[in-house]
Amino acid sequence: MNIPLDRLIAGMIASLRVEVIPKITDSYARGQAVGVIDALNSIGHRIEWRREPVLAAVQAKLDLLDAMAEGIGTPRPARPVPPETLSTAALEAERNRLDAAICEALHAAHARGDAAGRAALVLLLAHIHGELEQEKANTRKPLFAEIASGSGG
Amino acid sequence: MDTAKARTFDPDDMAAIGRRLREFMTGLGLSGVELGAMRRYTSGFSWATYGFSAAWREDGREVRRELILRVGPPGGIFAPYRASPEFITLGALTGTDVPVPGVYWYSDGSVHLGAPFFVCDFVAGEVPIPWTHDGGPAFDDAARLNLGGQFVEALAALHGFEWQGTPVAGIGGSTDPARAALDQVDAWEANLARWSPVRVPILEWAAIWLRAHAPVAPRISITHGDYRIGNFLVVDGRITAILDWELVQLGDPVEDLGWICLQAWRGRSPHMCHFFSREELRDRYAALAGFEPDMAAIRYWEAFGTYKLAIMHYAARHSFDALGFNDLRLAGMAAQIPRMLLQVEQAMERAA
Repeated sequence: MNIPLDRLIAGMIASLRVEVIPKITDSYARGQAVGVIDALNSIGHRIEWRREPVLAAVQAKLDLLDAMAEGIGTPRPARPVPPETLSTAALEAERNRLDAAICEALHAAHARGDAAGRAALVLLLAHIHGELEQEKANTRKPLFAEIASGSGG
Repeated sequence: MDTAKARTFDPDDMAAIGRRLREFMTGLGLSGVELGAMRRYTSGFSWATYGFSAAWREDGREVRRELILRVGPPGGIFAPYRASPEFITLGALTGTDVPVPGVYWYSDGSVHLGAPFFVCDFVAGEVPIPWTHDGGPAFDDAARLNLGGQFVEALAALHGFEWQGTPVAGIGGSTDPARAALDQVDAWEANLARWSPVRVPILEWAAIWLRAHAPVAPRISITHGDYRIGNFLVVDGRITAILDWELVQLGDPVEDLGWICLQAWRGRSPHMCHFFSREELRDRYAALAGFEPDMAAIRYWEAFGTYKLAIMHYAARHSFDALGFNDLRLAGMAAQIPRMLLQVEQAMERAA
């Protein structure tokens, strides 16, 4: 769901170079802004989104889809390699693959319309809710008022 | 004559935009066309917007206007764009109780500026926005009641406009009351597929839920599609223009009421768009519109609107990540996707 870090950093640098620095009239402030670009260039190759939450999400989705296979007969998720051995990028791809399977399970559970389908929906929606709450906890409140008015900082 | 190169739209090349617009106007038969320097407005996320002074001769007399040029860039957030729905609607509403800028010219093609565009009057005014520094009310009570009353009056007038037999009948949307909601879910689900490379479980569930609970429209009206605080101008306590009609189409008028009720437009204020409670909004609207919207339908459309707004956040993410727009406001919207998705879930629970 996140924008890739290298793209985010490239966008920040481009915005500073094109939209911000040309409009800074104070030379010291302009130098500081260039320093931010320098720092972003330096750290860009050394950081990536945290791996642990993605690994935990993949494990939770595998468990959920196993439960769906037992409850409503949807396909059991393939486990080609232990998730712990995957890189962050591969884990993200695996998470996306499992999310697609969860979408299929949502459709299957809704279509059944029986007790097993309703029970499956409860599990699926609880998983989705829990994941969103976790992601929200890692998201700062937006600064839309300051951004829109160009004030604050 | 435009060349292939000249048809490329560069939003930052204001000189070329002005030159091509002048050529376009001259091509329409206007004489003595003079355009002042283009000033770009950076407030919007979608259409590129420019202000400029213009003079020309028409029927032997000189005309001078302060104008706005809106261009739908090929790489824009909702591309590919069409200018005609907005242009036709604004033209039809001129002189009604819906305050709109006057319109002049448009093109849905790329031959003139390199992208679809239209030209309308510049309208002065301040734009109240939904986001306040402390999250509290945007207005004191007097301003809230005054502006809120006008806000609802303009919406009722829009929905009461008899579009049948006018050019507005061709702007698109749904004319079957039983399909209005379903068509919107289909359209925004298709948008999500364009903008998100991955499937999003809560939005997929929302689409299932919205289809299962779709109401029948009480009538078919022009729907603004983004009717809210932040999209109108105010001068001395009067709303001077309703703006940002790019999502206008025919559909269920209750959709606009539901959109007004989105959490995103009120912060911690108890008032929808910082104006009224849901019930007062419904009652004021009903008194003017001649029908009473069902509260369950308003809550349905609020859930749909939250779904639509969440998908717009994916559009922002797509613009930044895949299309190369470096506007960090788009990255900021993308970062808020988890919060938006939780709002979708909550809106469905309220509507259930």
